[in-house]
Amino acid sequence: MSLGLYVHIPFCRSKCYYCDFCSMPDLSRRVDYLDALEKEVQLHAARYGRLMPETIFIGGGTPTLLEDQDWHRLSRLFERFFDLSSLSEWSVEGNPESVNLALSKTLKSIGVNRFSMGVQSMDFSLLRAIGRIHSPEEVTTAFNALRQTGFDNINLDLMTGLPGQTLSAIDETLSWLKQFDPEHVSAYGLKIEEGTPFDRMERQGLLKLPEETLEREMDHRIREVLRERGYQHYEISNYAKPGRACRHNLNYWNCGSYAAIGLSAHGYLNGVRYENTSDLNRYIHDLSHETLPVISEEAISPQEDEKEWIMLRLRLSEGIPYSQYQARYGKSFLNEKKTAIEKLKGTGWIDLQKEHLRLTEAGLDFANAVIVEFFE
Amino acid sequence: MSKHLNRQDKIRNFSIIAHIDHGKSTLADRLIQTTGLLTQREMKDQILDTMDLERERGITIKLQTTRLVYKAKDGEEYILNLIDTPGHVDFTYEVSRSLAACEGAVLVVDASQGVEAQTLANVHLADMQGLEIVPVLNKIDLPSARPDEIKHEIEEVIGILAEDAPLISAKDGLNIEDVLEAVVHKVPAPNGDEEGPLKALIFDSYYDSYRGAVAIVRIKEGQVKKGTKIMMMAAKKVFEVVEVGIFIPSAAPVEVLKAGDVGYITASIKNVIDCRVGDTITEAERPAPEPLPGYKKAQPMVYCGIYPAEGESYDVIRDALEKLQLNDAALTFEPETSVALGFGFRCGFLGLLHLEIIQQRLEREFDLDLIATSPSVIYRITKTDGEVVMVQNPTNLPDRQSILTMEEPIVDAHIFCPTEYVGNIMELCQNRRGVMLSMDYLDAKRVRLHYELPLNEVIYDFFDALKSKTRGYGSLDYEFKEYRESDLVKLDVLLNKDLIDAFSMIVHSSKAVSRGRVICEKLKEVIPRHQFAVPIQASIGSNIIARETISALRKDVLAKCYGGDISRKKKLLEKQKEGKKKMRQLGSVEVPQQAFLEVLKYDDSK
Repeated sequence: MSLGLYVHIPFCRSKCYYCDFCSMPDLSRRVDYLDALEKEVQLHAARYGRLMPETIFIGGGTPTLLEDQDWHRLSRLFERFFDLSSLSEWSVEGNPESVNLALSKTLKSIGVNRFSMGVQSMDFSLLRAIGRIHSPEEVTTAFNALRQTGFDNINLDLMTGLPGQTLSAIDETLSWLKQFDPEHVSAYGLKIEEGTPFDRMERQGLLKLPEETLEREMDHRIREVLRERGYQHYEISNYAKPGRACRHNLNYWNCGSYAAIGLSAHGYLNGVRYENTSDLNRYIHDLSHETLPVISEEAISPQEDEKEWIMLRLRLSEGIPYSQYQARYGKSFLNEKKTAIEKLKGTGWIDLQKEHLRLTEAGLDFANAVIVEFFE
Repeated sequence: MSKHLNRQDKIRNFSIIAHIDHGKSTLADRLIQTTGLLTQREMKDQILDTMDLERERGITIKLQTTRLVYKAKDGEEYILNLIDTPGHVDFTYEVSRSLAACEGAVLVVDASQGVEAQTLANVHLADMQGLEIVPVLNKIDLPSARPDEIKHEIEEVIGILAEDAPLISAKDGLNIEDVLEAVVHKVPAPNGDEEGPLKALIFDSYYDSYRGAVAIVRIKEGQVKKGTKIMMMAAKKVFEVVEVGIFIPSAAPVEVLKAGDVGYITASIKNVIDCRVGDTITEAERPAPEPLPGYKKAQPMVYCGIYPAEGESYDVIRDALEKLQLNDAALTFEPETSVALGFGFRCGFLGLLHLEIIQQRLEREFDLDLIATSPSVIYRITKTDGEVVMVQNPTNLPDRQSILTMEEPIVDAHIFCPTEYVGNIMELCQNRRGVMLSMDYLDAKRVRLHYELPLNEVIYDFFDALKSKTRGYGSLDYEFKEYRESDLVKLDVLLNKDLIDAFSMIVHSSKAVSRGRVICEKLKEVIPRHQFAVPIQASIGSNIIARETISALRKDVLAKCYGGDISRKKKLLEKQKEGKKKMRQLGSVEVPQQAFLEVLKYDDSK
């Protein structure tokens, strides 16, 4: 079974209006945080042993706000406490305004081989409307720096359904994308999360979001264009050139194990899902007292695992291979889910094949409705 | 004779009456505690309201009664029978019966809020029974208390002396003894003839699975003990008494109950219907020449369908209804079938609150998932062939060609409210097709309005509208008056072109369009979007009078789901699944149970 390692860097220069991830604009805590993180890695290793991750993902926040020496420190830390002999993918996430040639070289030198950049849109006013601080030009500069350093596995994040966004704005971003020609694209529909500035604006009636029909058109446009360009639409929101699917994320969608380090990170080891605190002071305090900053642990029962597996597998274009279900749960998917399948047949959302069941093109927009039918 | 009078001299039978929230139940608890019946540890808040539901809603539905023994300051020991009363217009009859079992009533008035509408309505009922009213000012501990003004108000508005009314805080247990003293000194002792033929007023009854129906009685005259052959004067049934007893507050057998006493009688009565509130128990061999006045048979006024929700069983609901009926002679039910909802029951209730209470008891005490259809009154239909049919289910309305006349029940309604709300009330009643008969100013601040209202206007949300239009100060009392010819139509609702019989209702033709519109709007709000557009239509016959459309759902998908999202997103989807389970498939459309409640709401602003 494969294992991933997720490391969270919770700093951002400023907070985007839609973001409910754990991040803060106060960079002064950077060193304290990394000290604590180092401690966490040690305690984690003491508890779980010298794990052998096949993938690493450093996400945030904006990890590219870390400095040169921080990256070297992280690299040494991982080498000391993990067995990296099977590591095949090491991704770092970052934002255009903090990516430059020097950083790119540093990342390359420590072994990072995949970069994921939050572009969202190539329309300046849209970027401002959602609280992003970068400009389209900075995207170009950053992208070129990465390429120049030799990064040949780059993901760009896009967003649809933004306030004021139009189909032509999507087209424009897509034509920029054609020039960049990244190996991977993630396209997310905006979701208003509780407690974000957008949430407050929406309650006050100040947020004018595109109609659902238009938002779907945007999503479908991206789907169509990227497929034409040779990308595989391998997960609901993810597209990759052949062989470039994100292995770290595939591991999540296969219900694989993953270790988690850092503020608010979630891990899943030995059948137990655990969650770190999102409170930076508590995180630092716990670790300075030699305690892992875990706030909850949940053993995932076979029943729960099955729900998760179905929920996640259905997001993949591969869908649910019956043989895998059989191997995992020792029962026949078609027998087990007969009623649900019968109910879904008329919807046009499922593609029922001999070897597997997956979402149809139309079903991609109604994944939740399909998933809940399979929940007991 | 004098010996008997001496015995009754030491008895006081009284109720506590109050506006809602003025502290009736808290005071009852304190009286029980002060007279030493229960220790502090045994006290649950508000002992007398035994049902959770009652405690939660702060109203008493079923009566409880208890006997207190109080050693007064004059050195004598008195027996005080405290008879609790239900607090709602649906149960006015029950209130009047329990007041009829008393000689006096403690009137609790909130020392900061003063006399309110329900205070007046209750005083009115107590007055009609000729009770001595003992005013008490409660919540004297609050900084906003203004006892002198309120005393004055009681004297002005109600017209009773309040100068030496006890000033108490039931919550803090302050001056509770003053209340007991006032009861002893002001409430007259009973003086019934202990040797005459038995006359016992049933003011409550309940069903005990071992003893059968238990009659809770006030002995007005004569006496009763084990072995007495008794006769229910209205039910005309004879039984032999198995046990008599008193409530202290749990049931405790005694040898005999005599004139002036309050207690219970069991007589292997299999059915509560034979033990109706208001009936008079007498001796079979030496019957009283006439029963006590005021008996009325409980008559359902409002009907609705009760159906099992998705996954609930019909049989379980029937069992539950049977159990409730054992305790509640006013509840009726019979099986019926709906195209939309399948097998269920047509149930009859005293009023809308009674309906709600039964529904909630089914849900809570029996843990059932139910769907209740629109309530309906009973219409009298005269067909062209001369046949007269009573219809309480809109689905059973004969087709229009065969109807000669339709009549609907009209009630006599009395509304009490502060003068500033008269305009609002008049507007409300006019909207509800009311006809004003009179308006009396009780004083400078309070008015009593007398209206004729069609009952089918009262059962839709009238109480809520009255409360909101009078900031909670308005109170309503009504009773059936007569059937009257009316221009009525059957209003149907169609979802995605399918007629949903469970939503059908009979309305006045002048109201049909606005009602149809409101229902379509409400349904649009509560029915979730489907993969297809769902037209919602209201119609009279084939004539569509209102329409809304729920646009098709375009998207039901999570944008992202990574390692940190899995638990949360799974829970989100589980919730979605739960919500879906609660949906009811009506034709091609999934409808949440809440929709059935929403269509009942009248929006008086429209």
